[in-house]
Amino acid sequence: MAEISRELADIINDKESLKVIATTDAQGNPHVVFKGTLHTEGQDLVFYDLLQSSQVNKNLVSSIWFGRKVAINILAKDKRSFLITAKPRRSVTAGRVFEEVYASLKDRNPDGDLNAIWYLEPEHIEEKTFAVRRAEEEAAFPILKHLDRLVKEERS
Amino acid sequence: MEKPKARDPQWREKEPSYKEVVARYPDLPATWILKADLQRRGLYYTEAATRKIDPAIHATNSDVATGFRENRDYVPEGLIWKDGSYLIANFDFDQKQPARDPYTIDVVNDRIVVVDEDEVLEEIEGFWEKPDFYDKKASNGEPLRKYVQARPQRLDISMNHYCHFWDEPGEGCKYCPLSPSYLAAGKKEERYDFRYVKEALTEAVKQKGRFSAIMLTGGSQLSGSELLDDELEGYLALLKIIGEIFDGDRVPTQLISSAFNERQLERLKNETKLLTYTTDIEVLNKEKFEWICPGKARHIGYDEWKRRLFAAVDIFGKGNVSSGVVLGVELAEGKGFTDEDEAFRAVTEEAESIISHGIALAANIWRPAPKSILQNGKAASLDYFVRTYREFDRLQHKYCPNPYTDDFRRCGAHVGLDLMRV
Ligand code: SF4
Repeated sequence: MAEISRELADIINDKESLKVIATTDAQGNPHVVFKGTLHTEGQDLVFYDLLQSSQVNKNLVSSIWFGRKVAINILAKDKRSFLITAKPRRSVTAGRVFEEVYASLKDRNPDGDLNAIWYLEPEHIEEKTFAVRRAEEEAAFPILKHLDRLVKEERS
Repeated sequence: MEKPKARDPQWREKEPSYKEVVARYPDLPATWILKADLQRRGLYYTEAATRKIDPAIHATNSDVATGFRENRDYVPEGLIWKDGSYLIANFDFDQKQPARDPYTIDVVNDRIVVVDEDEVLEEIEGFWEKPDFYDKKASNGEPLRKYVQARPQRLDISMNHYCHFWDEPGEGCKYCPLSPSYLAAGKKEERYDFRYVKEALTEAVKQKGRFSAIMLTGGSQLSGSELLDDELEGYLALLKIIGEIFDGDRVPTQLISSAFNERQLERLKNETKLLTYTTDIEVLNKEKFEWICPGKARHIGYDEWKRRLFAAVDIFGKGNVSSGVVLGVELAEGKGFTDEDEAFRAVTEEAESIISHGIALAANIWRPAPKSILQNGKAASLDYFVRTYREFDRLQHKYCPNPYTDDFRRCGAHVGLDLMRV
């Protein structure tokens, strides 16, 4: 299990961050969806699925049954990005906690509904911010470069 | 209470184990197979697990009105699984001499777990919570839970507590404990006053985010100017009460009743806000049906029951009709199939003739219920249930447009329909 740092938790919990979750069905078909409600609770990543017929719900059920992982990407407002691979740990579809979340969602959208609260356990976290990734790549693999980027500037 | 012991100590040697069945079907989730086996073999709560049950929070069930903590028979009504699904677990298992050893629900590292032969097989999320209205009373001073019962997301109304197929000796369904339990308890009140049902429903739906369906059912009532008319009138009255509580043309409701004819079905459709209709054919083989459900066979008949199911699809629409099945009872000792392969072939062929009309089969796992005629019988092997459910699921994915019929949210008893979640 990977630890969510305080800094990353703040980014995940920032309303202005973009959060996407990629899942697969039992046949391996990929599916990606933005999940604005994704946030941290302790070391869990938690989001609210609003539609009972959603593909992400089907894929997560299948993933929890067969131990498959999901991928999440967080893009912060300063363009830093993080890739998290996680495993669905539990799904809550009824009970006090469910009803509390249902009520809070109702405050935002009176006509809304709630399907499930999904709890995901992060297994691996990696920063994927472009500048960070490029620096990593250049340090590790100096061979990966178009030559024109290395041509000496002509002196006039 | 001590953990009951299997009446045949060698039973494990005579059938494939849970683990062997899991290995045989890698396309099916192991946790789901375990759920099916829990329903088949039953479960037993250790003292530690019993201490995790809090009657202030959880929905519990007991026939004995003594103190909770001393009474180990006091069991939660259902379990919550990690995938968010529920498993009804308050049904009557044979607690004295079950055919097989039940699973143990225990606590390890403060977690509720399912154990068999000292091995932890699965962690359980917890027990069903009781709804707010369970602590409230009707205007007559009786508890509201007497009139309406709750599953995690469904409200259940039981209209008739006695089934009149039992009026003629030997005509009740052989697996069914409803009327025998009613008679054994010396009960007299076949139906409760609908006024209090309305009070319970009105109170129940004040709890926001709790309920997403209402189910009405009850024992059959054969009387009336035409067969089943009195039963019909009762449901019409209850459904009209529901119609007064909710807005909209249709309310997420399910009626599980005797097989009504077209005229009766049309009245249900036209005079109420009923959304889905279920009539239980129970046994997927005409000959076994006639042996197991003689009352149903004599008054309506297998072919006519099936025809009425199909007629209901024309009236309520594809995806709004389902049928209950007591899976495995076709193998009951007496006149049941003696070979599981033969039963599998017969049952799945018959299932296709029904499912192909868009009718979902809500199949229970038959295990002999105390007080029923078949109470000393023995349920089929786990492999039989798993492979039959697997085939039902293949057919339902192919033909049924509504994967939510009788699913865990709306019921919690039909594990086979969990497979429709993906
Ligand atoms: S019809 Fe059969 S299963 Fe239904 S209540 Fe009557 S005896 Fe029981």
